[in-house]
Amino acid sequence: MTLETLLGAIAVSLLIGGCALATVGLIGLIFKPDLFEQLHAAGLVTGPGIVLILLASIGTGKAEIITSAILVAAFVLVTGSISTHVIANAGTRRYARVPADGADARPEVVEGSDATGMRVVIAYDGSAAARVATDLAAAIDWPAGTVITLLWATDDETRAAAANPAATPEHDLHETAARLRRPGVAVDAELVGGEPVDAIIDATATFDADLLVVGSRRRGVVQSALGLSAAGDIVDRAPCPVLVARSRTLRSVLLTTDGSGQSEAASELVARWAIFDLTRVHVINIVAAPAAADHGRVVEATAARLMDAGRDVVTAVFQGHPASRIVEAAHDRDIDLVVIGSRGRTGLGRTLLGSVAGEVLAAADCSVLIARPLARRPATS
Amino acid sequence: MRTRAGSATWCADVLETVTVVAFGWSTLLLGLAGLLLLRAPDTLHRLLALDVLAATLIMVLTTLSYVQGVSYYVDAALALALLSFTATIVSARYIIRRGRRP
Repeated sequence: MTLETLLGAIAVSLLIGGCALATVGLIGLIFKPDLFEQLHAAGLVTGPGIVLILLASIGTGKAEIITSAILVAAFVLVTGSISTHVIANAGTRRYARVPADGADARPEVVEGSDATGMRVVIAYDGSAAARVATDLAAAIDWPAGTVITLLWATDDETRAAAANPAATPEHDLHETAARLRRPGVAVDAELVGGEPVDAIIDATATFDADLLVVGSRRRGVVQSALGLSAAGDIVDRAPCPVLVARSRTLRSVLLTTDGSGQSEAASELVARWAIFDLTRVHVINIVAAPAAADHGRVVEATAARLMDAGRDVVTAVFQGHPASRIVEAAHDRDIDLVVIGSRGRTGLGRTLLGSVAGEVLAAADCSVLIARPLARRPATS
Repeated sequence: MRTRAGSATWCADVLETVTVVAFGWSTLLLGLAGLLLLRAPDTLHRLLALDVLAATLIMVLTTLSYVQGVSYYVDAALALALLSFTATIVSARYIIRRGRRP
């Protein structure tokens, strides 16, 4: 038995073994839908499968092939494990979901409630900005049958940097949920793992929420000038209207209208939602040219619709730069909430940045509710 | 002496056959990996499928190198392994960081 025969026999078994392992791995990959089970199966292909086949190079008897193959094998052994680790890490951030306080926290809709109740998601992370959002939610008179979901979205880094390490997110969520709970309003708390903005958007879509409430964390001057805030990012991507909370009460509302589709969506929210029942609504329109008659008509038409819905309405027409006039009017009239329409995200990417809604959101002192035309919205009466 | 030479030839024949079969089998696996990539439901599954696709392609190149008896294909496999690793790391970091602001 010569050396070549021995090496050849080893090479044959290595080739068969490598192919068998790779086949088993690929079968596992095809039949297991879960990412982590797939990672387990992929490990067979990218690790032992490749290495066995590369080691079979000893059967060729050519020094240059053996050298290159051993180099590749060493490289693959190092990088394969790192790749698997990185993908698993990304998967943990994306998919991990932990219920905050057991099964008893499921929302219980009150008996006899009708369809007027809202589904609301409040993004809460224990920060001062998020507390403003929950304070505002506590001050709002929600219609009976409303289900509020307090959502604490976190990944490891932000959880570690939480302001108060003594209070765990679970405990804080439990306390805050108890504070919001009242007759007719069910409050559910959920702790979600993953990149916060993604997790909030995903959960809002999953719950089919009518409204998403977020806090407004003030950023540095440069960042806010560039529109780089988590709230702006959420508003851009949310599937429903978003309330960015800065005030703790809801008594006066400023509705901006220009007769466009998105401002129609905004005025319909104010007319339909029961949370505006006890508020005074200021309807304003900003015109570029000296007040034209048709602009007055837009305001009057909107005001008439709101009065039909039982709202207490004041109207005004201003001239000038839209966003600055809206912010000024909100400040002068001591407004708690500006309601403004936005086209939302289109195929070309973010549209909020640079829009009137985006400018108002960045500059206003009060809360801002951003409405958008919704496909599943019932037709206007 | 004659039996020795005979057994060596026989062994070389078996090795050659197995190498060719391994090459064909790897190509089949490459097709399966492609199927996996097409069926991937989201970005992370796609990323993993791409990683596996690159691995099976390395297998195909290596066995091709054995069949042809030249080393160039293994060098190509090394470059592919390097690129695939970089791509996986960068994409996974991107998926983790997406939407977050500095």
